[in-house]
Amino acid sequence: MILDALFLINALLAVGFAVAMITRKNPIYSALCLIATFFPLAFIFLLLWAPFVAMIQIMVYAGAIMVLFVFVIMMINTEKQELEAGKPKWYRRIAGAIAFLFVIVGFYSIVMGINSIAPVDSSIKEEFGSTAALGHLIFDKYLIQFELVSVLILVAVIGAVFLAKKNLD
Amino acid sequence: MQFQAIYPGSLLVAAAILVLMAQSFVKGEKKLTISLIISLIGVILAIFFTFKLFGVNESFYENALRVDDFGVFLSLVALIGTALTILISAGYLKKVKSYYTEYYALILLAACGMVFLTISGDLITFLIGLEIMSISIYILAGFNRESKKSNEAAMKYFILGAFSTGFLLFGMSMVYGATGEIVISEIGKAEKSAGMLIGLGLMLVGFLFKIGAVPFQNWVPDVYEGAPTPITAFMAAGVKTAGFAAFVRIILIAFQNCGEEWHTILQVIAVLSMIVGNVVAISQRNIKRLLAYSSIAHTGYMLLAFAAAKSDPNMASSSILFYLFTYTFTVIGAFGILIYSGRENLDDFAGFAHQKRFMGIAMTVFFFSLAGIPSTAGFMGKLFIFMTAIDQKLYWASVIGIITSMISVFYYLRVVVYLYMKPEVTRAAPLTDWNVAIASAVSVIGVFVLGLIPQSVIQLILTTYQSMLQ
Repeated sequence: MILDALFLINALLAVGFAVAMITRKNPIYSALCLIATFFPLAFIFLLLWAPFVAMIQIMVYAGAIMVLFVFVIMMINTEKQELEAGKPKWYRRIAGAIAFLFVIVGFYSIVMGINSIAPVDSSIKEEFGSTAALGHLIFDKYLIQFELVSVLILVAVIGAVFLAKKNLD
Repeated sequence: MQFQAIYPGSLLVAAAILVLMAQSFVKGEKKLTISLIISLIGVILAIFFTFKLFGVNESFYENALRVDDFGVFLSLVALIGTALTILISAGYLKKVKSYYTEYYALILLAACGMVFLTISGDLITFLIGLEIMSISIYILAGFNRESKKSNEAAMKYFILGAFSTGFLLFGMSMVYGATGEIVISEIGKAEKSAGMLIGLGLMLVGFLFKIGAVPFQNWVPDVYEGAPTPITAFMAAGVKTAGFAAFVRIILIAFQNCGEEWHTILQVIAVLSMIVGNVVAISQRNIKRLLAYSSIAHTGYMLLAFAAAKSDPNMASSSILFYLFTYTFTVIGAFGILIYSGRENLDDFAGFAHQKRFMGIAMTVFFFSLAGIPSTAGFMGKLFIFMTAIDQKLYWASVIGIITSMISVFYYLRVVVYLYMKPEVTRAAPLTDWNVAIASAVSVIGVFVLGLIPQSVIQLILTTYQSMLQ
């Protein structure tokens, strides 16, 4: 009961901040709302017995990535006119209408098909989301994927150095 | 056996790291030669070890990798594309006097991503493979750091590509939510549900973006024009091959119960791609842009065969595989000649064939193949595709396909007319580079072999669909 209430509160908060994020005109506010979205999200992960993911969520997203975002926004320092100029209005309206239609269709089909969604295994063990369990998964079952991620990071490092360095020789 | 499945990918990563390390020991032009040799050896070894995987048909690493003839064949196609790209890149780097060997390393890493993409057995491997490939290509598209166009291409491709990956990921999470599975073959056993259908729609958006189909084609001309020419060839051949590999596998296996839905969508998109690609290409004077629009049209042809997969998946996937194979040789060859000649505009090609006789002939062969003129590979590919589509009663789409394909003959042959029948304009002499010449020769041979004696390849391809199911 309490868990349900906690979930509801956090879910509403997360969705509310997410909506606020895309409706704010000022990018700084948007970034702040995004940070605010991550905390209730992390709490939902906690409710799902995944403390490790919850911590990573806060540390990596709210910590590292958001700082980067805010820095970039402040560095670019967009003027107000620039934000308002853009595509003609009718273009935006049509796009908005299509997106809204998509939301309605998606929502309708989820509501209609909610029973067909596979039930979550309710016999979740206590160590299910623990760091140890995650470690076992990463280095055992998902070993190949883990190794591939390291290749992916290598690509990103090469790219960052190559594109950002002033004099390559 | 388990290890053999990852030999090709690991070899490519090892070669990439060697290339990166080599540049601290050698300087100047030697650096390029050494990197070229290392990367070629790496790719050829990878091709060799991939070849040995034929007939394995097993899943490895808890279903993370699915090594079957389908994936192995497309891995081979992607790796052949990579080898040819490396060869034409050698000429390009020499021409623009760029000594940055990160270039080769990134091509090798992208190839590694492609290999894992083609043999991915679950959605996680698939996504990571796709990202390794895409991120390498984003960087490579912006490789000319001083050129505004190259920067624009990289930026556009990166932003839109990241967005499309977002769609893909969202779709994947929907599918996981609906079925509780990430293994592709297991997802296929689940019943059709709302979550599956939303997932299908979102994943289609991601896939169609990567292969450049209408209505997600807007990035194609700008990125193809701005990126360095060898990278454009790599995008048209390798990225498309790997993208189609995952696309076909996931749609045919994971979404086999949703045939009704994707059948219609793919048919509409195929028709739109063929029309937009071929009609807009007519007005292009820049050959890179022309080939960009033609690549949209070629995606359309392949999607036409794909739409037929609902009732005959074997023929459909076979004809897509064969088409990808023919397209790889044709398009890399065509871009290779662009590099060799050092020009991009149609008018500059006037009389080129009189200046460089063999290159003129090779270019004619490639453009004939793109147009689908008999005795070239492109003809066999198109024949296979339209045969499949008509067998499965997609009459209207096929008629539109054949009409647009006749339109395409106009703009392909116009290039050939410029080559031979226009008065020669004196331009800077084209660069003589053996690597590009070798790549062109290999491509010409490939085009004719697939066009005249394709039996053995087709026989091999016809068994690949069964191998996916085993």
